[in-house]
Amino acid sequence: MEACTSRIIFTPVAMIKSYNLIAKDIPNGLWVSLIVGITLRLFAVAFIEVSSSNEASWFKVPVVPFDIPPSLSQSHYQECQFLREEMGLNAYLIGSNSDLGSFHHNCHAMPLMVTCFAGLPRFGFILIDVFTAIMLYAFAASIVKYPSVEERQKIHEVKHCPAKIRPFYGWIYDITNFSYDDTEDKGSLCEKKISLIKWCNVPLMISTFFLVSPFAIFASAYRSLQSFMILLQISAIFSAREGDLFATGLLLSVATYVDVYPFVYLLPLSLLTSNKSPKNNLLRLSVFFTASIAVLLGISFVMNDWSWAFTKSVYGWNIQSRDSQPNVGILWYTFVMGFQRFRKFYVVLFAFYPYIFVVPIYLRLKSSALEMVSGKIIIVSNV
Amino acid sequence: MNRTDFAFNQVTLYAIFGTVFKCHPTIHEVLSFMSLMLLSPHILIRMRPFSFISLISLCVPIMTLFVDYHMWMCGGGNANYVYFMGVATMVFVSTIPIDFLTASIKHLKAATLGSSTSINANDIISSSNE
Repeated sequence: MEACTSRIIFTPVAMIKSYNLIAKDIPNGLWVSLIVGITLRLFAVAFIEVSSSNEASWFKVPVVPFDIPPSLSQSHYQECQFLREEMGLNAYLIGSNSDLGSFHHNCHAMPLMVTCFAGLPRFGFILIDVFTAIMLYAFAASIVKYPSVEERQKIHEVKHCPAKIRPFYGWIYDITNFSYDDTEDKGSLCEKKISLIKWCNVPLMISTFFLVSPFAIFASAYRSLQSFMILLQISAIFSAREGDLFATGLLLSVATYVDVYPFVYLLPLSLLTSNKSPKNNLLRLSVFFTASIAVLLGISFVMNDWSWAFTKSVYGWNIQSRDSQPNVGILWYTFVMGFQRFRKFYVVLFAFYPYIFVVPIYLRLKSSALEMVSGKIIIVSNV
Repeated sequence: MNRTDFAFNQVTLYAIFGTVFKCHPTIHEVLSFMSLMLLSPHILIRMRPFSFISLISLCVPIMTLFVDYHMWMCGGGNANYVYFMGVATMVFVSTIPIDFLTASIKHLKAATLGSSTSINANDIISSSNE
């Protein structure tokens, strides 16, 4: 199952082969979750169709699209495609084109995304969810491994932690369910204590949570590509764990192409690939990433009539909070109600806010990532 | 766990911070990436109770958020209700990765302490590789 990396995810034949291989190892629990998840999604689609055709329905007002950004909504892609192909307009220049008025609802999706996903049938979104759930399971299953008996026994020889950094909720997992007896010199490893979560069940829990989550179900039913973004990012992390720098760079560049934020994963993923030469890995990963995204942007440039207008319309929209629709965040309201005089200040502040955390977290946790060649040190630190 | 570690914790943190603080956050992405925290048991067991309380409490502002948005669209509410429920959601969501980061640093200290004791972490690694 681990061999089925995301390296070949974009080639359909190879993808089917890889998922066939994964399917052999899928446990019964995941099959049940997949069937339940697909059924729920079909019910959601039927519910939307019925409620949209019924004029008197209380659910006539679509509520769930509130949670779907335009850059990942298929209906928005279809609008962009209509403007481009039917009207013969550059969908990214409409907001700034004085001939068409002052409205700013120009296209906020990348050209390749519009081309690839504007005509995707509803079944395709369910399929993306299924692939994402399987990828989540495979990724989690590659991490979940029990320590050997010898490793567990070595905990006896390790000193106790100070109280401030000692874990007090070890009973949550079965692998961390140790006792901490300060009165004795050596720690005692408990026999099977009652634990909330079994470590071996975590992959199934994660994929099942994804499959039965109402937000995932309705996002799929309303033709949102959020699951595709999650699939890309999980596949990139999985590829990094497998040590495949090329696939990691490729998947990360596609994710960054759609939404600018995921490029920050370059730093930790270069650490994940190998601990022997992280600088070299970061360099190679950056090269693959830059080359891939340059190709993607180049294709988009050609597709968009040799114009870079899409960068301002997509990345600029992401950064500047222009044309924001109401969403779960707080920035749309801040920019609506805030004084226009200070808008630039807040734009700069909020646009860089998610990136402020990247370097400090990397620097703080980098040393340990280098030291911990193996996650088995988890055993040592569970004292 | 063969190569998991703080690099993976960084990925989880970046994913959650990114989805929370970007201009167009969605609950679907936030919850999906938050589920990856289950893969870091050594961190999770060091987190504080208020994270769990925040997680349980999340359902209230999220449900109210959708109801308020529906009321707003139907003419019975206004944007302020939606905004304040968004604020409550973000406050609850933000506390969890912040506590996860704190717990990561606690684990880092514990790991440093463990490797400085009589038993060296490298011994375990080398013995397990054999």
